[in-house]
Amino acid sequence: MASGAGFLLQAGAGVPSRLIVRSESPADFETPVPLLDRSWITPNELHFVRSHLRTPAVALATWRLTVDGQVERPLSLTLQDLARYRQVEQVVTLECSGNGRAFHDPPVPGIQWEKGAVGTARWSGVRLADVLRSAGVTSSGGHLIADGADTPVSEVPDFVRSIPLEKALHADTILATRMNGDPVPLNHGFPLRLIVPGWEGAASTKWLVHLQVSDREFDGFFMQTAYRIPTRFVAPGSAIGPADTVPYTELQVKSVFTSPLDEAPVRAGSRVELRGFAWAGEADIAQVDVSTDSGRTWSVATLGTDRAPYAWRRWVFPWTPDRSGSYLAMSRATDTRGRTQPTVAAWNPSGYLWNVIDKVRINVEI
Amino acid sequence: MLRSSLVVLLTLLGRMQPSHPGADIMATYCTVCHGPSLIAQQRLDRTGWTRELDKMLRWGARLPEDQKAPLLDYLALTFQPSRPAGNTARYLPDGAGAEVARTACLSCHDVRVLTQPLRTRDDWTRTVDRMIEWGAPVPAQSTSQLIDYLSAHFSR
Repeated sequence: MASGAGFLLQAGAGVPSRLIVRSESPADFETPVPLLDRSWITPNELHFVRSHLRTPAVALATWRLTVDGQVERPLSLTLQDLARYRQVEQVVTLECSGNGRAFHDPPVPGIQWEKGAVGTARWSGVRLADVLRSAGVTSSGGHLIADGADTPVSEVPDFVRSIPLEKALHADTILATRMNGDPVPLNHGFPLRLIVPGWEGAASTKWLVHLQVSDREFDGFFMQTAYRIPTRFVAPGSAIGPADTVPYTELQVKSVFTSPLDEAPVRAGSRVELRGFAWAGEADIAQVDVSTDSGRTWSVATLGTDRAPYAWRRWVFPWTPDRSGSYLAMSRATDTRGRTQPTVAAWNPSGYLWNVIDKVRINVEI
Repeated sequence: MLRSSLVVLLTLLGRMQPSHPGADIMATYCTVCHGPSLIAQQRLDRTGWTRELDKMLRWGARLPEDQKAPLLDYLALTFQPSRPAGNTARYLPDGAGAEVARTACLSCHDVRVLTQPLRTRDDWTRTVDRMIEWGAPVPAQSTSQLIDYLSAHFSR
């Protein structure tokens, strides 16, 4: 790895010691959910990492963000140029499309994420809309194609995605130079990451170097084959053609337990705080219900006071089991649009959309 | 962490099919571009593996035609749907002994075997001794550290 004049390789690359390594290369690391429990904002070193290709080396001296395509004035911006735009921030819960893939039955190929391919960070930088306007984009029809500095080997398709211009021009969509106050770490897209709040994580392109305005959705593998969800329910294990799928965009409503751990031992008569997080993409969480009796009865959990438009809410439910037994506790979030978590997952060939009611088994002993 | 995960993984791979020619083919043609755990975490039948392998061939994998069948045999046998999900890299609480436990216990067990049922320190001592008899990879100088760790984190 070069580290001389003109090169700046961000410290902190490599494998964070406390994450679950799903893949060493490309870098795909999952956060153990007990570690998410500690704070509303996920510390950078605990935030899950999803990469499709090898992590690129970044030479800051020659780094530029190119903005071209259907624009009046193509741009080539340095980080200093970006610093002159108005600075904004968004607290955003990012979740990988495939979070929970390991639970689909029958199993599907892909990174076998369980519950921890989700995290919340304070992203700061500039409004994408401000940059697009200075390039002369005024219409909201069409698409914005985003490419990072990561490059594939051999015939592997490059990881390139696009989002509709309407979302790109939304005031909350940003080009982030900082994650929780620090320069965006290399694993998370140093030095610049597109942040598309409320949408599945793959829309938020890492190591961003090229934005292209187009009248069409990008025609490559990662738009036309991958990251697509069925438009109808499909039989588990069956195939489905691209014509019956659409790009996965906004996240669903979902909740997860962060404490206690699944199979946790608990003493009868002791007070246990059941807690976790709930999120709903572009919508807000309206309510989280908790059951401690396998879903026979439900009670409303208390929502935490930390909140932001695209960020998860903490939920808490105190419980004192007075009798021994093996209890199945469940959490079910409902959002402000009335969407709620299903009891059974909608199986799909790529293993997306896992948002079933979360469950942990709690073993109460005398 | 990376090293220990690789140890677990290699231990798993080694146990499953120590002499299958497909393991060498995988090491020669697959893991030159991506890590082995990308493969080892999958749970696919032969049709699923054929689909994945065809994708990799389209994407430039340089696998000779005559190596395809033995590789598919190996993948479909070793990384099949009946395996439990996600047991190669389960979370363990931090602490001295966590790395020993990861290699010694999680090479063969799901982490849930540690959390259920509640055990006393004596139970853990007996269990660890039995597992060592049965071949658990615990260095002699690490036995008491492992028992300490398990007793501290997974006990009454």
